[in-house]
This record gives sequence, C-alpha cells and structure tokens, in this order.
Amino acid sequence: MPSSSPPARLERARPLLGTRVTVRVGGLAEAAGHAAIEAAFAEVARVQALMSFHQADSDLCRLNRQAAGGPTPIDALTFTTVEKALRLAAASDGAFDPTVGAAVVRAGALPEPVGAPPADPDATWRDVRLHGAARAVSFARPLRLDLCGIAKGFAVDLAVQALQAAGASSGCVNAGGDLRVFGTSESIALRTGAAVGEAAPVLELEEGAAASSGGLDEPASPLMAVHLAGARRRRLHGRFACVVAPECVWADGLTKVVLSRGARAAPALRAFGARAYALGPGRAWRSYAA
Amino acid sequence: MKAKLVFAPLAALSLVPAVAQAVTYLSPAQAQALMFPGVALKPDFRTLTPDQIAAVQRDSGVNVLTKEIKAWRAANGGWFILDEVVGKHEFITFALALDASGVVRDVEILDYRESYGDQVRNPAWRAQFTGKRHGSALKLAGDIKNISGATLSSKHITDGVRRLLSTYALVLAPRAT
Repeated sequence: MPSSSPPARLERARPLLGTRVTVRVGGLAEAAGHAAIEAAFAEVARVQALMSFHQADSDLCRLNRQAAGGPTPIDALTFTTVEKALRLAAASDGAFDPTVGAAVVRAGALPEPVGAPPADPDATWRDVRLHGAARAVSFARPLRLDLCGIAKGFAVDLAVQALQAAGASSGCVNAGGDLRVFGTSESIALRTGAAVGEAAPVLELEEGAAASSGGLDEPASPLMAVHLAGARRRRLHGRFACVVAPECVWADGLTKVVLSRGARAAPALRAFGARAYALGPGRAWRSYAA
Repeated sequence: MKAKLVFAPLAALSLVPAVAQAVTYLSPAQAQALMFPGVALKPDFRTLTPDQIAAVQRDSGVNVLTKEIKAWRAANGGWFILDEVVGKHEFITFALALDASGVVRDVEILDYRESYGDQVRNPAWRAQFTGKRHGSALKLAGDIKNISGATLSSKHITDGVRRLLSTYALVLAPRAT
C-alpha cells in the first residue's frame, strides 16, 4: 500500500522524566512521522540521562558530588540548562531557585545523593558558578542542584525542535502537563484540583508553551511544600498557576515564581515574553503580564 | 504565541467524557512493528504458577495482579511483553521491549485512560451541574486532549517494568527454568 498520503495524526506516549510524555505530529507520512516521534523521544531521554536526580551517573548527580570541590565539566546540554536556571533565578530575584534540592531532600521527596558532601542550608543560586570556557560548573559551598521542572520544560522544547527538524508541519509535546504546540492549536484542561464554580478552565494555546503548578492536591506534597513554603519562601500568593510562554523551559520555571510572588511576578514574566493565569485563594482568576 | 483562557461550562458536562482521557496510541501489532522492525515475533504466552508469582513479588517488590504473561519471543532473541498497570487516576496498557540479554530497549504506552480528577468521578460533584445550561459562546478549538496541572507520576509503569524484569529473569530468560 502506498504511504504517500499523510495520516491525520500520529501520537505516541512513553514513560520518561517520571511522567507520561506524549508526542503528536502532523504533516508527515506514517514512517517519517514515527521517525520524527522517535527523534523527539530521544531528546527527552537525553535530558533524563543527563539531568536526573535519581541516576547516580547523571551530570546533575556528579555536580552535587563534586562541584563544591571545584569546576566540574559537564555536557553542553546540562551546561545550557544550568545557565537557563540561573538566568531565571536572577530575573525572579531568587523566587525560582534551582538549589532548593537540599530542602527537597530533607522533605523526603528526593533521595540524598550518595557520596555528596553535606549541603550548606544557607546555599542559594548565587553559589552556583558557571565556567563557560571549560563548560564546567562549581559550587561556592556544598548544595543540591535540582533542575527537575526546568529540565522537563527544556526537554519539551528540544523535542519540538526535533519534530520541526524532521519536517513536521504541526505537533504537540506534553510532558506531564508541561507542553508546547506548533502549527496547530490545542485545548488544555487545567487541573486546579478545585471545583471552581460552574465552568472548567480550559487554555486555548496556539504556537507556544504552557506549564502549570499548584492545585489543591499538590501543595500537600513535600516537593511543593518546599517550593512554596520552604525556608526562603514567602506567603503563597496563589494556589494554582498556569504560565504561557514562547518556550516551555521558561513556562515551567515561572509557575513557581507566580505562586510565590503573585502580581510581583510580572517583571519576570515580561522578561521571558510570558503570561500567567493564576487562581488566587479567593477562587478568583487573575491574569498577569498580559 | 497565542493563548487565551476560556471557561467551558460544566453544565451538562458533555465536556467531561472528553476531558476524562481515553487514548489509544498504538495497537499491539503497531507497537510490535515499531519496537521490532522487520523481526519475526512468536507468541510465547505463559501462565505463572503460584510459586513463580511469589518469587516475582519477592524479587520485584511489586504485586502481581495477573498470572497470564503476554510475551512474544523475537527471532533476534529479544522479547516483547504486553502488560497493564492501574494507578489512582489512570489505567495504562504498555509494551516492554527487551534485547536478547534482557536489557530494556523501549517502553511504549499503548492505551491510557485518565480521569480529569476525583471531583469529576464524584457523582455529588457532578450533580451540582446537571440541569445547568450550556454556555452559548463557548467554542473550543478542538477536543480536549491535554491536561495541565499537578503532574501525574509514571511510578506505576516503572513498577510494572520492574515486575516484568523479574518475570523475565525468573521465568522467560533462557537460563530460567
């Protein structure tokens, strides 16, 4: 049977990054479409192998073991991700901080890395140093770098680039709610965890990325407790935030900034061309940096 | 970047079946063709004995829910195994591809069913919307195929894979008896 006519839609799903990652592609014939999807999954798997907190041989675990002792060379992809994490930390004045790992470990949501020096509880993102020429990272004091969400967002961006490089005219990559769309529009139900009245919030997204954080069921988890109410956190400004941005890496990281800063997250949102929809304690929806 | 937040009336909740996701990504035959391209697969279904079930549970730390093992042996020595896992919100059929030495090559999700949230399945919660009218202005760009919110973990699949690796080592592998 000739396979020159493109199928309506190809979609596949794999368990990656601790969640379900789905990849949809349009505008390619079946064999090419599956090849594009495999290339997209390969990008996500690459991020997982390099930046997993759970795999002892990942770049991330190596940094947590060694970087307090001096510059530790890492893969270009990991270096770029750390660079992006620090950029967001600076833009949000620390509301997003990739060094909350130690508190997350203390809360029991992540395992203590084997062989790492005890983390300094006062360490912040400012203690993470980039050495561009050597493509290395060092820590001014022992800490636990956690790229978790931002790496997931970045993986989505890389997967979308893989689909586009394969010639897809449309596509959607969704890593457990961190998603990015091109060439089509998608309706995304927002799981706020609350019965919010008579209408369910649905995000209509065309060309761009979205990520969400919070929700009634999530603040109870140790991870969110740390992200939102931990030592360096202030009062929670909202209980659910969805951020829309051109790139998924910023959408994911900015959700934490919106939840901890509320309206004061607007400058950081603008810096990345992003917009937020947040559900406040009074069940009112607010939009920031529109 | 173009985005807007709309509010879909839960009214008759005709939306909810669309929101409660039920997706078939691949049929077993499609998964076999993609995971073992050009390689012949021969069904080699097994029924675990009570002793084998106990051994797999001991080795993997994961409960065995069915004694039927849907396995195919590949001409190149690999294995294709179909399995199911059930989570709090989801029901998942997945396929595991092993190479000839029992190393995981790929995991593909074939079927996925997920509810939008507990409140949707809760009849009392749904009842508060029955009889309400549909919003007239609402027109979604398409079916709701995505959910964004608290991330669902893939722990159940990870556990399922660990259980199948124990099953392989204890039952399917050439050195197993």
